[in-house]
Amino acid sequence: MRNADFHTLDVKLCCERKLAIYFRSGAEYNGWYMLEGRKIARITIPQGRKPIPRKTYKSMATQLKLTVDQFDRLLDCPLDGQTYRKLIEQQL
Amino acid sequence: MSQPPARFIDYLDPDRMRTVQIREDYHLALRSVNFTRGFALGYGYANVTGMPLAVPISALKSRLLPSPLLVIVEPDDDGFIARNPDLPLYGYGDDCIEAIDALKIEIETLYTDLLEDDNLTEEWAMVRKLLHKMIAPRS
Repeated sequence: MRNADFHTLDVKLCCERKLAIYFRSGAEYNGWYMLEGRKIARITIPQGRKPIPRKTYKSMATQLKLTVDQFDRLLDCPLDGQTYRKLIEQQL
Repeated sequence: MSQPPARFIDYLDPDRMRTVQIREDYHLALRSVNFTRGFALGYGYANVTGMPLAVPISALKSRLLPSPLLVIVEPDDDGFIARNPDLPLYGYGDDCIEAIDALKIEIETLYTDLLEDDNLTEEWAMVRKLLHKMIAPRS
């Protein structure tokens, strides 16, 4: 688990760039991963945390239907948007 | 608003549930030194031993819940995380109260999101149905 390596803002930027998630800001950031016009996964990102607490990090991974390892890879770059889409399609 | 009687898991004796009457809003109960015994012990466990705390809530920020919703609050590094096992949501905060409040907002915003349209997977449609049962209609 690489929660200590990332700031919550890194997660937000990664989700915006790779997964095209649009976030609404409030006390926390909320956004949906959409696939073919349907709401698939909804992630909540608390504002301004580094390191990201472990259970929160795991919860964010789970919300995106990823394992912690896959989430690490998503944030670390090797897991791109297309691969993420394939992983999701396998689960539908 | 008076609170219904609540039951708490006693983590020193997990087979036992304590039934307590919360005399104030739970925010005040958590902060007050005039705790009912069950609440005080539960809050202590969450801080001291790292054990989860089960807190029934009977209202969101702006909506009522017809039946109390059980929220599990656990320490998460320097803060706290609040969750309900049936919902794909969490609330994070520097203390228990902030975490529960964040979860309340999460539940409300998710419900609003799910009512926006019908472009949902089966899983989210089920969550919407569940929330519909959990949340009282606006009067």
